[in-house]
Amino acid sequence: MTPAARLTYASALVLHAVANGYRHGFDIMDASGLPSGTVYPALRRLERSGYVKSKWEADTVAQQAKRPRRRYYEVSRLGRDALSLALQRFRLLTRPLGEQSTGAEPKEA
Amino acid sequence: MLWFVKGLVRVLSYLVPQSHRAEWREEWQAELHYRAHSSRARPSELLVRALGAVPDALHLLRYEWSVDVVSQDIRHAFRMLRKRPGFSAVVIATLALGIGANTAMFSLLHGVLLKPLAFEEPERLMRVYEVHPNGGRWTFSPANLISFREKASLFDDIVGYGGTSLTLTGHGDPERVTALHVSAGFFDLLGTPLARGRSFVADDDQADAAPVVVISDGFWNRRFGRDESIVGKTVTLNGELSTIVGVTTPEFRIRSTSRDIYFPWRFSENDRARRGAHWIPVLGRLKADVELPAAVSELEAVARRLSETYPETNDGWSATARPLREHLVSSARTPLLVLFGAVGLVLLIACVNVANLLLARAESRNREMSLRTALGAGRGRLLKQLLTESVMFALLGGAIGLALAYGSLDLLKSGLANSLPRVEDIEINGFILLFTFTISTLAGLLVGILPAFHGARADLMAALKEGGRQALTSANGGRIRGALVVAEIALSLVLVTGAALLIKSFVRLSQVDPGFRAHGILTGRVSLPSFGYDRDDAGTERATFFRDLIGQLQAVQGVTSAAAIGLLPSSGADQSTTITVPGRHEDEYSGIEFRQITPGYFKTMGIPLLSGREIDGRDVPDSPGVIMVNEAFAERLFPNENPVGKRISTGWDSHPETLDIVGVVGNVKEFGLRPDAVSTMYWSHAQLNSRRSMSFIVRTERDPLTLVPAIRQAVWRLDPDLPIYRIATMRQLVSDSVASDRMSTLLLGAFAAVALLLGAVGVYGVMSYTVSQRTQEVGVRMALGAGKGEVLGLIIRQGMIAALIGIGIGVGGALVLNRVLSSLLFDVSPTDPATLILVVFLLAAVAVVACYLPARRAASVDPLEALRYE
Repeated sequence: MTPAARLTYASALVLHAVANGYRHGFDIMDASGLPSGTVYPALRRLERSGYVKSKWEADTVAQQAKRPRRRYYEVSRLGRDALSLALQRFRLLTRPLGEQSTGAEPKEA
Repeated sequence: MLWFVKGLVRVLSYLVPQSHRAEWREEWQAELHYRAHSSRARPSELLVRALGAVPDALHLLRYEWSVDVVSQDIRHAFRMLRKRPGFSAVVIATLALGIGANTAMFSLLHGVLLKPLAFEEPERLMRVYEVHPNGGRWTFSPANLISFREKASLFDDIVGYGGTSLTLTGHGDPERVTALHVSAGFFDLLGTPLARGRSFVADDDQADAAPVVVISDGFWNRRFGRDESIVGKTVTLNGELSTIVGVTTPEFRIRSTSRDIYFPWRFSENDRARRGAHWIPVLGRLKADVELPAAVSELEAVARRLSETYPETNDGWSATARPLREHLVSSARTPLLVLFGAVGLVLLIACVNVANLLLARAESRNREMSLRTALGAGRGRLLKQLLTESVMFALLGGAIGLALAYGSLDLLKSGLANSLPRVEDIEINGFILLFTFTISTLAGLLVGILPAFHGARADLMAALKEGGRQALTSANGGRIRGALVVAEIALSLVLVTGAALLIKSFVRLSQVDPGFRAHGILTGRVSLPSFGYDRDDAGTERATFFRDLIGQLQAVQGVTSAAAIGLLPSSGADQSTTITVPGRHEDEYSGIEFRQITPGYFKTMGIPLLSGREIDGRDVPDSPGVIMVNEAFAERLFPNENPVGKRISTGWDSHPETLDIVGVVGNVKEFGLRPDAVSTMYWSHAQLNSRRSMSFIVRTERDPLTLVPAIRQAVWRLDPDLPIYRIATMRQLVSDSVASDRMSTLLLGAFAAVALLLGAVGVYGVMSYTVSQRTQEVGVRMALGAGKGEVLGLIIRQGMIAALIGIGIGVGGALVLNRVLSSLLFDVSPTDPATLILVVFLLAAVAVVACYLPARRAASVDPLEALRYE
């Protein structure tokens, strides 16, 4: 397992976003202001390290909204520990999300 | 826009490893769909986000190849290796053999042909020659050397050198030491610095200069115990006191052996005027930025001017140069390249065998592969896995092969010492390691490609079906294996034919009559020092010495006869001159070999006297000058007449002699067994120009080497300080003269034997496997009444078809490829039909046996058992 000390700023930001309810990839992009080319690789690394778990939406939810089901991510216990360590390192992360970029409202989970 | 980006994602998904592909595509397309239908949708933004899929896909792809995944593959490969230790051992051993042989051969090739010489800027070092009017490359005469040194402006320097030996006295026992006399600029030309002291300066080779020497590291060690104050000490060489001015580094050598002493070549007045006698080998260093053709042109121009100034000696002569490395190794190039090609073929055959083995194994792992596919492993992943396994086999085999080559290198070098130039430069260095690693990897990929593609293409349903084992033998796999066996047999045939040709050639070479009876002769060489034997310029003392020596030798128990000659046959050196026939004023005959002999030489050597008489005791300085000639001489100068009684004139500069021919003897092969005999004349050592160095020969009924102590005693009875060197039997000398041919034949023979063995094993393996797959069929046939013999015949026939196709292709290949052997063959054509037919029969026989054994096993199976076998 990758030790928490090795979380890059971008990965920490992505993890922070997921922990704060931004569960889908594109929403994380909005919240963090990072481009898709950064967010997704970070998500893959976080998943490989065991900090996040990925799941698929229930089919019923998707059917109701008349769209394909989306993948969402959740922070694991290991991830929570890593995030708190990272928050100590990157004090900028304590700025409220949404202010990282051009303004996006946190979605309800 | 949404359709566009969705399509883009679909295309990009093919970058993603198969196991993740579907999910990845779904995730991206869902996100894009969601975004497109949201209130803030902007087409440009959608596109920008979609482009982020590229790094994501690449990231996932790269992860497949990342250290984690690769090390996983490697660990898995090791597990597979350990699971079947017997199989793994066979594969690794086969590859080790092939790769090891290639490594050894490449280190030979590298050391001899590719590695630069151990001198400063060796590509500018040239061997310089005078060119005889008949076109041959010759050594220099002293006067010409001096002229060229002055006039050749495109060379930094031109130096001459010559091997000799000196007697060291005054420090304990007298010792014969090896020496090299060199022009003053010798060490500077080569560019290697001395370990201590100084090298020679220009004035050191003037006739009146104080005698100085440079000694070798080995000599300093041996004789002076590495005395720190060595520079400035003196040694007495050939009675003359010389000062030591320098010591060479331990690695310094010119040619293969290191000499003890290097001293400046001080030409006497006499020598400086000698333009017509050529014996000095010459080296030159091109000036920086000068190309060889320009330098050669200049040499030719200088030669032309000299031929105008000195027409009696230089008319028709020219000069040329070629790189020193060329000069040293050109004779070894063809044999080494042929052997390198051959060993490459051996590796190819080994790879084919291994590929067959892996292919068979891949089929039995079908179930494993199919399960893994069902569990999500993509085809690319499986391929990577299988290739990792085969490369692993090959790298392990390569490591073992490298160790084998390293361990046997010293043995190889000592065995090849007589057959190859620059043997001391052969080593296993980083370059060789790189070569081994590269061919191991390539071999691994080569053997792995077919089985990997075959294995990864697993048929899911067939594999998971119970009892589906028989169905797994896909027709395709069988065809591939058959094709591999055909290739193997073809390659083996080419190699075996090549080896057979070389063997035939070597046998013919060994049977060549050298012109004398080599068996039962012991030889040795003595060289009289100048002091003690030079009081009389005509050499009476030298003549007396050798006459007495022969007398002493003949008195030794067991010696039936003894004699001496200036240069033995197969000694590797030549001595030739130009003569004229009085009365034939226009004609000059060049390239006449001449030898000084004592009475009884021809009898001792067993050379027949064809006409006239032999030289004997009555031919002394006061009696008429006489010579004997050989058949070749008679045919060349006096065709259709008896030369006995005729006269010839030698033109030795200041002392021309007219000599009577008194006898004709049989031809002797002077330069090894290959070249034809050369016109040779012999005169009495006692009568003319008695030389200092002679080789003596004694004939005995016993083993010649048992006489060595008695012979030494005989020499020392005459002069206790005289060392005897180069003691060897005549048979040894003749054998050494074909050492290079012997090397090529032995090595190629060994390679061919290995190839034949591998080929036989390959055919046997494939036949075994095929037959075991057809056990059921055999059972059915026998149950339906087919006899054992019929079944046997059927299987063998089918196996032999592949073998015969292979043989056919091989014959075609052999006819084409064996032409490269032409220069190595003696009296045998590369397309010799007898050899080819013999080899075809040999391979067919081997194939029959390799097919027969498994077929017999199949035919002896109980039909009921076979039918029951699923």
